[in-house]
Amino acid sequence: MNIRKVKEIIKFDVEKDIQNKWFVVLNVIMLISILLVTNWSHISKFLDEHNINLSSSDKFTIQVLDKENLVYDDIKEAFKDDKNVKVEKVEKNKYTKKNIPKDDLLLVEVKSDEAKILDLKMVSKESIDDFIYDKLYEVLKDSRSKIFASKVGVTVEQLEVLNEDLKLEREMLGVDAENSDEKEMIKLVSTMLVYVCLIFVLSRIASQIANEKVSKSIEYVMTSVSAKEYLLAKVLGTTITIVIQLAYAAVYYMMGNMISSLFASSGGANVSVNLIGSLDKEIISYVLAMMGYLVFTVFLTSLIQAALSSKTTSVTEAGNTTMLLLMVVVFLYIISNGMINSYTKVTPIMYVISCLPIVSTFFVPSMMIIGQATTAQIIISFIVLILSIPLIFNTCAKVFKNGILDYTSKKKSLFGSKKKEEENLSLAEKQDIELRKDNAKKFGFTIGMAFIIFVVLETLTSIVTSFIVPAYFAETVDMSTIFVIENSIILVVSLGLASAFIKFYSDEETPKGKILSGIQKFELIFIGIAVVVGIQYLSTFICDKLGINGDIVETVGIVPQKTFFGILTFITGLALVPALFEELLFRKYVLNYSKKYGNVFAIVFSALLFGIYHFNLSQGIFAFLIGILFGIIAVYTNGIKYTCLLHFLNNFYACLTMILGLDSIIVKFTFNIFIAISIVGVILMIKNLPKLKKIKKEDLKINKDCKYLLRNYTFIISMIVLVVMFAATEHLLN
Amino acid sequence: MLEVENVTKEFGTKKAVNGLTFKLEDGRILGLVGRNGAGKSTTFRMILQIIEPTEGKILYNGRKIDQEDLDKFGYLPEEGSLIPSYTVLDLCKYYGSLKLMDSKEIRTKLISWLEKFHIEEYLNKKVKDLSKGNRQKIQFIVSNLHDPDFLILDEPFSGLDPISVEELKKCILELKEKGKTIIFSSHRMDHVEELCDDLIILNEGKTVLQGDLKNIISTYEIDGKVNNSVNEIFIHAASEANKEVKE
Repeated sequence: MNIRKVKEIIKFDVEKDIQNKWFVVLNVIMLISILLVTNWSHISKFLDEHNINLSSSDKFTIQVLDKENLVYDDIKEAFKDDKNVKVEKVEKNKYTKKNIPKDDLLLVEVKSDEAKILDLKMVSKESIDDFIYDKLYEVLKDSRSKIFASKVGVTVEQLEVLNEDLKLEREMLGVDAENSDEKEMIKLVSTMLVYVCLIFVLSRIASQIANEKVSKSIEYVMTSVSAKEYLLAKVLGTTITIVIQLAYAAVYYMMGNMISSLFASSGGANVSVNLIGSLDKEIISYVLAMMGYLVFTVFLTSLIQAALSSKTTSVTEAGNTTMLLLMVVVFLYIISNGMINSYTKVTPIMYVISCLPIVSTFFVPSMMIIGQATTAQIIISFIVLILSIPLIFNTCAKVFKNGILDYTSKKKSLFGSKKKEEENLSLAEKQDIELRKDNAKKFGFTIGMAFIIFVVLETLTSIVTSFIVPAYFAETVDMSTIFVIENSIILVVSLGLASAFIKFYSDEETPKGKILSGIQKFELIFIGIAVVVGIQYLSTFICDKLGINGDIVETVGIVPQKTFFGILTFITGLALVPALFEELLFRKYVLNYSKKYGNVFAIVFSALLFGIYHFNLSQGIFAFLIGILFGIIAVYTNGIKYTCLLHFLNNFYACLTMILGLDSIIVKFTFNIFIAISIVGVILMIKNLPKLKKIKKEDLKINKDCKYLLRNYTFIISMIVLVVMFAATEHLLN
Repeated sequence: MLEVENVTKEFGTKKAVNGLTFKLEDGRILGLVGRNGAGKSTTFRMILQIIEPTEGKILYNGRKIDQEDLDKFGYLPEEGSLIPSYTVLDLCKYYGSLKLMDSKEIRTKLISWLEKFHIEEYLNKKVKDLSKGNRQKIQFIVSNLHDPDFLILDEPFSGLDPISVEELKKCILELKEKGKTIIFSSHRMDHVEELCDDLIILNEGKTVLQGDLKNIISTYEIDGKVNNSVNEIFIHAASEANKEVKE
């Protein structure tokens, strides 16, 4: 490695940075603000002495409408020294919306009140000066205490004891809590420092490297230095710039302190002695460790940043990589904060984790703050940091060397072997594959987005309805009915808009429904009912075998109200709305849109989604099976009329059992009717079996392009969300 | 002397340069011509060690090229390789420092070069404010600032007006007189004809024709005639090569 060249680059970079006009501007601003902050007490004192008031000094009138003379004297007394505030007594509140008071006027209306002690009202044109309001508030509060104290026969002081917050002193003998506030403060400041440094360093490196790469000047540079030398020079150069900036800031601070000590009339104590004298040993060691970690972390993350930006092809992209790294850092900070605090005991695993490079910057100081860090741990973490440098440096240099000269933004295939296959194809074939991939990705995006819309809207509407619905119905109906009303609003909004999204985004035409003859309709419905009843028994059987709680309604605990409104709401909310809107989304849009990848794929895919959508196992299994049936019917009839009807009948029967109970005569009667229809349905099914031969093989084929679905991020993330929600609700219900 | 022996560079399955072999004596000018994507820039980048050849050897004065040799090389990359936000002086300071020159030396040399091209007023102008032609001149200056023995010029004439082209040609011939070895690539055959001692015609990574320029002109036959212009020879050789590929 040619150290001289590295030095030359660093020298050039640092000189250029420091002589930059923005560097000067930044430093002037920094200097002024640090001087102001460190000398603020003197400045405000000076201003006070010379009667320069920073807040407004307009004249102000407080009118008090206090017929019982409850607070007027107190107010008058409180503002007695304030020359700008005039307090006067009035007999009437003459202000209304039409007669608005002037800017500098405020009216307080006071009446005595049995429960609240004082009934107070304040009238003004708009918001008033905080100072006056706060003072007035305090006076009124005190007056109220006085009145109440005399009423119940205690002194005001005794009353104040009650008003104070409860004081509970915590003493943790096993934890070092000495100076804990101070330490927390230092931790906060040092973390801020880490961020500021990282933001500066990373964005600078990213933009420099991206600039040199985009302008292709890197070609020239690479003939003079190796990638390693260049990388090292860039990273060190930027780190040095930051160190210089920090040194400047420290000098400003010291300067501010010195000026402050000049103003301090007596004592004139040495600033540096004061500064160090006020810190204890632990805090000094903390600051030193933090600085050590900071230097290493800045260096290592800069290396990673340089490697990442070498892979980008524009300055914007390089900026995005900076955001990525900063997010990782923030994430580490949050984790360290969550895992390590005075109330938890540090586990051995955390000691091990805390020794990892970069992670140690956040974990070890946090442990030091709560006094749980060991010297061995600190030493090991530093050794690991030092050892990791050559490793990370070489890896980054390799990535950097490959990336910095690669201007093509090519996408790499996840499956290497398939890529080779594709290479042998002609251009037209390749383009065809690309087109099909794009189509499949669009399909994945549409479905994924629809379900993300569904999930988000479901959550949002459930929040909104939980505020609005009870407000309207709480007095007339019970909780179960409110739940059902909320639920149906949620379903209509979320399912409806998800369907609308697919409809408008996919540009897919919905096919016209098949027209069935009367006898065909009759046969279809009868067979459908028979299969639904069959699936009911089958799913109950499966749930029993798997040991899953089958009675979800009982777990949720919805009990219908036996009024006309209650029953109507139940049937609408649990039978009609789901039948219409679920069919709309799953059978009309999802199924129709998926048909281009084959009928079998469309049926299974929509049924799977339908199953997951129920967010629990017992209903999910039933919904999947019934989804297959409805899918077949929807494909066969090219529409959702019949599936809607069957769906409604199924849910309606469930509603009936909920409303009337299993022992009711009507339920038993309906059940028997369904059984009878099922028997006829089974006979019809056997009669129609030969028709199955008519199904062509092509109708059952699955278009293999559907595998490209998994290339779409939105689709994958939406499926993960659905599965997680499924697992979470299932867990909750058990 | 530069020796390139059977050099091949593959990008994926595509061969950018395929079995290139040539020798270049000191003090001569080699013209590398070919259509876009023929492998000219790739060849240059391999000579300069920016990328490594998949196969073959590149030797300078009988041994592998190291950093010390590279510091005596001058390189003018094909596309604007200047950092737009820098001034001309800053840029030259940066690039010069990479060749271990001190900043005083850089300044005096830069000014004398700027005077040569009659653009002294651009010393403190930012690169992004320069026209394309002037940027090309600055680029040429940058590649010559450290007085290299061996010059690699990738499309040095692109973007220049006719007068500047003549100036640059004069410069190149002057450099040759000083004993510098030069390789350059170009689309313009008239430049090649006027400047080159040796010629290589590349087509899709393969050498179609190579040798002493005067020899080639006096021996290459098109329809039974010799002494054709380099332009005609290039078009003929390239189309012949394409025919072979198709067969």
